[in-house]
Amino acid sequence: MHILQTKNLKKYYGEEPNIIRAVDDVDLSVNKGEFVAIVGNSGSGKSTLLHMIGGLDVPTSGSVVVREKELSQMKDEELSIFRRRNIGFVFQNYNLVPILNVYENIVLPVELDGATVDQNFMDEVVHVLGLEEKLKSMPNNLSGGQQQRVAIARALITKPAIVLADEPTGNLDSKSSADVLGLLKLSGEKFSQTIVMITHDWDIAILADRIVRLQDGRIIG
Amino acid sequence: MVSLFTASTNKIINRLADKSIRADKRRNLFIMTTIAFAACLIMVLALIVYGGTYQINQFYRGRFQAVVSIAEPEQIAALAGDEKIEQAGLTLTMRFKALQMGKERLHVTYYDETAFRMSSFELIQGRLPEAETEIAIPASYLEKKGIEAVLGQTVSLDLGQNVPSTYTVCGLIRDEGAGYTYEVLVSQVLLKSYFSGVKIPYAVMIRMAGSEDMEADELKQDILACMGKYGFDEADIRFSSSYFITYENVSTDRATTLGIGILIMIACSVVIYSLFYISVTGKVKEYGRLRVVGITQKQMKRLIQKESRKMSFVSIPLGIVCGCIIGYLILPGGWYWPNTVKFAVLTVFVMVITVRLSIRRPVRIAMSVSPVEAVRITTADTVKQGDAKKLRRRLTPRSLAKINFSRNRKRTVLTLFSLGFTGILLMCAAAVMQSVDPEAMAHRNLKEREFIVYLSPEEDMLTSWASTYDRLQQNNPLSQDFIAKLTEEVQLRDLKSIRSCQANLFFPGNDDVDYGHTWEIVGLSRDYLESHQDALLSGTLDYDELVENQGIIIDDDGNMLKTYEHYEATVGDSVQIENDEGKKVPFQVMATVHWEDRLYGGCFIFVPEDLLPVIKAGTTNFSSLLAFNSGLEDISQADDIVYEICGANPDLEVGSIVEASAAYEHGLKEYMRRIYAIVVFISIFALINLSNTLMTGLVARQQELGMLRSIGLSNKQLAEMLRLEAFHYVLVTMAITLTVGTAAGYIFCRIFNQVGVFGEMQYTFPLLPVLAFFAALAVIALGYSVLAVRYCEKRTLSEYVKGMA
Repeated sequence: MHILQTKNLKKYYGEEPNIIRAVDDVDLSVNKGEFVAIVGNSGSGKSTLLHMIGGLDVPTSGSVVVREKELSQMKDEELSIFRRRNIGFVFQNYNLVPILNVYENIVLPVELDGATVDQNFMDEVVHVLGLEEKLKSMPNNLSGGQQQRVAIARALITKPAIVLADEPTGNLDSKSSADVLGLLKLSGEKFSQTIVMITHDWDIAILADRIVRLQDGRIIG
Repeated sequence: MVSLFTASTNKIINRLADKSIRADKRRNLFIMTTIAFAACLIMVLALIVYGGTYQINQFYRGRFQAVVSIAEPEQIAALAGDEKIEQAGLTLTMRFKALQMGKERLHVTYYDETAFRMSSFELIQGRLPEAETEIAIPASYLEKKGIEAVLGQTVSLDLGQNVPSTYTVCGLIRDEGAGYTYEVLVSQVLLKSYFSGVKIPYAVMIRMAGSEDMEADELKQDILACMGKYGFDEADIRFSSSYFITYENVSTDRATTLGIGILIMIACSVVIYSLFYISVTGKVKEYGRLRVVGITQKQMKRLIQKESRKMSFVSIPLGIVCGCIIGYLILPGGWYWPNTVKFAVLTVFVMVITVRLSIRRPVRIAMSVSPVEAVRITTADTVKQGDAKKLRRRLTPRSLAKINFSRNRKRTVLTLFSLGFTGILLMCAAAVMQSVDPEAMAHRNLKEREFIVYLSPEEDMLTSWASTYDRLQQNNPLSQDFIAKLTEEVQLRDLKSIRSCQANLFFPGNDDVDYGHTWEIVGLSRDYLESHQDALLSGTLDYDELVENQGIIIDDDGNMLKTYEHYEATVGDSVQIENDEGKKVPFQVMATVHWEDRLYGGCFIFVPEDLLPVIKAGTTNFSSLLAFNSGLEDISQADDIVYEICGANPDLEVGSIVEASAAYEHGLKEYMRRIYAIVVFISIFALINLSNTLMTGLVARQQELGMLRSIGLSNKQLAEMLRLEAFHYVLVTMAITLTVGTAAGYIFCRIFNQVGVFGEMQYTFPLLPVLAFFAALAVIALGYSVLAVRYCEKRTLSEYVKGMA
């Protein structure tokens, strides 16, 4: 069963003859629980693709369907709500809210939705990611690896349909990178979580269940 | 001396400063607006205050300084020829009592050309009267009377001949018509006809030569000495109150200007400091990068100082030019180039110092930035050190707004300081202004009643004032019939009356002199004395004892006797009072008192009422003033009736709450306009600061807001969060204004009340000004949230997220 499907997805900038085809006719399907890595060089369009999958950017044409919902059909407000319930993001720069502690950063999407935090699930996620001792800490007092683990926890807490990770180890040293990736994969498996990760690093990509290669905005394998 | 190294790095520092200014246009706009605005304000303030003084000085340059009474023709000629006297002009008020024309009063006066020039009058049209039947009259008076104000218009008036005659208007006088009193100018021919067969008692207006730079006291002494040569003593000379009050006002105005100037500087400093502080703390990463590439702490200091200098270089002159234009437009008559240049230089100096002081701390912060800041992901501005006290708080747009509000305490405090300062200032000004009650001030002057009616006989040049008054009192119009008429027509109630007479008094030390000053002697009842024993300062208030010993009571709390008679009241002194037969009767000072009773405000000499006939044997009705309220619901109607009843009698003067309140209110409005203008100016600084804080917070948090939106913060929630964040400033400012501001306003009212500048004040909460202030803040907060959401929506979330990488 496809949890994510893109059809003829395009994102063009500018006009002919100087048109830039950032994403060009991409058809991609991801099954539930699958860990997919999208690999490509800088400028290959992987980030743009990820942003359109996450509803952060609007495609020039084509469609993105997440949990059988077509994102382009949604109004702004509806899309915001859909996003916080169905899509979790992990960014390269972690992007935690500096004025909230670790616990608050993790539960932020749930609380913004007016929902109650599933405390058992929360405990489990925190345990898996090894954050039990850091819940009261402020982001600035954490290492990069720890901050990224918090970001992963934040992405998982809403039990989203899909977690989108944008170069999650881009700012980490090799040891932290390995830790974070291991935890991301472990979390995915433990919570049957669908994960789409973009990276330019083949060594990281090989940890995924499936690798999609992107070049000049097109899938080449 | 500039070192070689400094000189060689000047270029790059200059370039960096230029780049920084260009890169941060919004901040620079705020800073430059603030500096320009402050410079403009100081300039306008200086130009208005000193321009006003200059204008007044120019106005009074040719004005009279003193009037000498009843001059002989030869004295007049001698005065005109004295080179110490710049100008001398003839004048005479024909009737010493104004002509009552319904509610309006007309003073009938003659001025020769010189005296007219030396007075504050101005002809809109026409010329001074020459023929016996010509008059010059204020256009506003004619308009009030429904008569077309044109030259050649005929007006029927009784100018002293006891029968109305028709006069032709040959000149229209400029008069704003704010009060009920007007001046009618007549010709010398009419004067000669009026005083036919009698020597005309001219007065001479004089102005001393070279008096522009003299101090008030020096000038007065100069006038007295000069007049003394011609046989005039102090009693013959009246100094121009408007001329000499101007001297006092100038120094008061200068002190006020200095005070307001300092307020503006404080307000401006807070904003500039805050703007630079926010800018510097927001640029820690950038400064870190500069440190990485090798900029030294001193160069960093020079960089920021250069930035501020470059901005000041543009904005101070801009502010000064704007200030000059505004100052000129407000007061074109006060424009004086040497003053303007002086103030411009002073403003530059003040503003440069203000800016320099304001950026001291931000410069130090920038200097202390370490190179490591360049590689930090979050800046120190947004970092909370240590662990949180609480594990979790409820996270809603509302709570996020609250957390954001307090994330940078210093910035928040600075902004709140300037907003709170404005709020407190507003509360003080508004509370004082609103607590002043023009009606209460009017009541106070009307013996705490709505109306006063008092004897005011027309002064006869050939008879003494006391005799004229006696003659009127012997046929006193303030009779029981008169009171009965008022009772019937205006439902007179709460009647209070003064029983008194006018007599010449000879105080110890001048009892041998033939001429005594006329004072009002008030008669007090036994009941009154018995019930006011607490007012006694020395002596006795025993009625019988006072009657038996021909005792007088003196209340000289205002030092009037000390000033005018050089007499300090002491129990046991003998004071001689001239009776109505011209004989001096000895009285003994038996008590000194201080009455709190407003009824006797302006009265200094008292006797038991049984002693009044001892002074004035021919008088039976000693009523001199009636103070009363009207039972009529419509006070204007009562006002019309009282004027109508009293207008029929030229010897009665009326004071009404309607007229007095209107006069006080007019003055108060003028005062309020000025005070609020200053508060508005100060509040603009605070609003600039608030706008800057909000906008800076928004710009600095773009990525964070993008992240929040990417994890599901909807636009509605974003708008709610930003709006509530802004409203936190409004709420805290409201709290400061309502607590500290109210307390400060109350204290100010108490102080003013004690000083008595505005009469008795009843503290009134200034609801409307406060609501207006809060509304202005709310509009900014709402406007901000709308603009902020639009600003956030301008870029896609993807762009924000890309910015995060």
